[in-house]
Amino acid sequence: MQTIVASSRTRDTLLLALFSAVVLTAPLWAKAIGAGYPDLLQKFAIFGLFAIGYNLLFGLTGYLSFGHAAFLGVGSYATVWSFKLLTMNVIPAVLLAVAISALFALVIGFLSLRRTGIYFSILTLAFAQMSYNLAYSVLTPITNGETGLRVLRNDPRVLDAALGVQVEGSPLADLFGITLTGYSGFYFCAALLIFGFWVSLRIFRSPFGMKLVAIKSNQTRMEYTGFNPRPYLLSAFVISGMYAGLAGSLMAIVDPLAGAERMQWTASGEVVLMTILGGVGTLIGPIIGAATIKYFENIFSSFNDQVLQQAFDFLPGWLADIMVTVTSPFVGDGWHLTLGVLFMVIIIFLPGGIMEGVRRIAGLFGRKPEEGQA
Amino acid sequence: MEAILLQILNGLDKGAAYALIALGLTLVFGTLGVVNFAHGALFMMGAFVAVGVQNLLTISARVRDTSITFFEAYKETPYLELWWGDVGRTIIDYAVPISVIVAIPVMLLIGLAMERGLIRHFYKRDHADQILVTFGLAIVLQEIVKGFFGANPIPVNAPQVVATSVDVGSLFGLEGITYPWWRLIYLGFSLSVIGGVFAFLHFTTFGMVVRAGMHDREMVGLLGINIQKRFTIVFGLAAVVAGVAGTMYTPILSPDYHMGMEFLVLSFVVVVVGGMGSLPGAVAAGFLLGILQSFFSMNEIKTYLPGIDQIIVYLVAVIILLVRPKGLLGKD
Repeated sequence: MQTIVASSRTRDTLLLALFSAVVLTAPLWAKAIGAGYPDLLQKFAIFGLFAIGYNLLFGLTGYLSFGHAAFLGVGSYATVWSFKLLTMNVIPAVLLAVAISALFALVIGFLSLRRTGIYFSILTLAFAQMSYNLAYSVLTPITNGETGLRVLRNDPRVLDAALGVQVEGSPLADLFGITLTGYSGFYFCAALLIFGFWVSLRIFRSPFGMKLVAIKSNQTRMEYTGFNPRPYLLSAFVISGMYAGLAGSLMAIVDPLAGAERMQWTASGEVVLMTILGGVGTLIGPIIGAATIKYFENIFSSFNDQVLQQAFDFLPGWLADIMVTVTSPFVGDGWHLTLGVLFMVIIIFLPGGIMEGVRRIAGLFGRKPEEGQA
Repeated sequence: MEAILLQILNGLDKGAAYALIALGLTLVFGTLGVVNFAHGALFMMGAFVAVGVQNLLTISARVRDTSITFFEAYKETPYLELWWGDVGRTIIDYAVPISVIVAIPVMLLIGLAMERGLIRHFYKRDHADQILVTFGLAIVLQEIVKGFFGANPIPVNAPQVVATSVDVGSLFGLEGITYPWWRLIYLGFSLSVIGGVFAFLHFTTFGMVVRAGMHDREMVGLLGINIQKRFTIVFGLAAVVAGVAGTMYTPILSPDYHMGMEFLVLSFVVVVVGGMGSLPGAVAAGFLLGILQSFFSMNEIKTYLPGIDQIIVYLVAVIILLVRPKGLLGKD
């Protein structure tokens, strides 16, 4: 497993600069792979953040949480409530969402971290399912149950009212007058993604990060050296919960709506998948994993037999027909099948995810794999 | 009083399903040390064996409908009915019991194939990897089933004789407790399966070796016994238990492709609450959580504690895990 190796500061700065450049130019290069529209790019950034945060817990400490979707949902609800009660400006919304999800993570983490291994996983799962079930049923006054919580035109919005800001048409999230839809929404998410990446980079390189890795490799030994792992674990749990809350908040910002299904355990499963697919415990991996899954979800589920027919047009007729028949169960509605297969293949052959694949290929070309670089 | 008894009965058949799945999960964990997230998918596949058998038995031909004389009307009539008349109809009526017999070899094969093909490569990997690969497998299996049978729930009927309800109350001298026959049958069936598994483990030489292997695998290996082979068979057995549990459950809940996942999450809670690796614990926790779930859905309780029915299982799980780290009957 990839671990932290002390790395020079210039190299980190370079990595951050490169990362920012890639993220900020995404609208340009994403066109080439057919992902050049803001909805999808926003998803890349949001789930990238979610996965980075999840990786700080699972990747560094090895604690497999199955309940992170709860924080995602809490972040969304907090954001929508801020839109409803305070203002359509996103700054208070984001701060509120992160603060509330941190509080949730503190409580859930404090209880769940008393156990390790599968017991920890089940505890987080239980808490998340409780939140989900409650959000669906009795908490309807807060969550609006099945319908989902929406921002309405005649909501009070006390801050906006005090400042005399009027909402025309349907209310949209804004940043001091800039409406956050389409590409402006993407750039807002991208800025936060870069910030989140920077924080994660700092944590990876810090003594705090070293201690988290120490928990993963040998908790007993760490205790013998005089460190109590609990506070470090709890901090990591809360930080990753805050990332999830931030991601949830961004979801509600680009589309002012929050629903309970965001808290279901399948959503927690999805982020585990993204992290694993990209590469557990690597810096860039989780973002690549998140982008890959969201990309395939969008592209594959829009495929149908005609598109396939075109794709295999260069083959002789009979072969093209066979290829279409073989591949058609994997696209459109069946894209989950692709996901499942991909997932198994990754776990079986490439437990380190895409990043390990990259390193192996780099190794083939005789270059010494750069430990800790990515 | 009647209401409470009825709720307990309601909880028992759900608890029975949890117990059967949890029993298999625990067997697999205890023998192979593998956390199998695809176990719910096995339950689901067992249910779809019933659907498949029902579909096979009712392959139909178009025949002239003689009851309509105004115009040429046709209706679909199963071949079995055309060939054998009433006997055929009875066979179709008993589709579910027949599927149980079909499900045993089918699920055994699926289980063995799964163990040999995938699970055995994961003995030495950590639990997270095992969870993830079996989770992937579960997705694949349920998508395949969805591909064949569609996404909608498919109703499967219990035989006519037992489609009615029985007045359970009269046994206890209480009025007005009627309960569907099939749910009682399910309860009896699962109790006998559980009893069978325990008897198999405790009263046969094979079971004795398996228990010894669960205790100390290396030692049993050193005595010249091929413990791996036996554990593989145990995996097949666990698959059969989950499968028949699903097959028999079809008249209670029309199967759809994601029913396995729903049961799996709760079954995992059950396993952990019972104590990982403890078979009696899994069974006890299965029934306990099933009963608690339906007990807390009573309106009398819901008015005092709104929403409690939605979270009770998880709440109990959290409390037990925090108070008794190794579960109800787990060993330290």
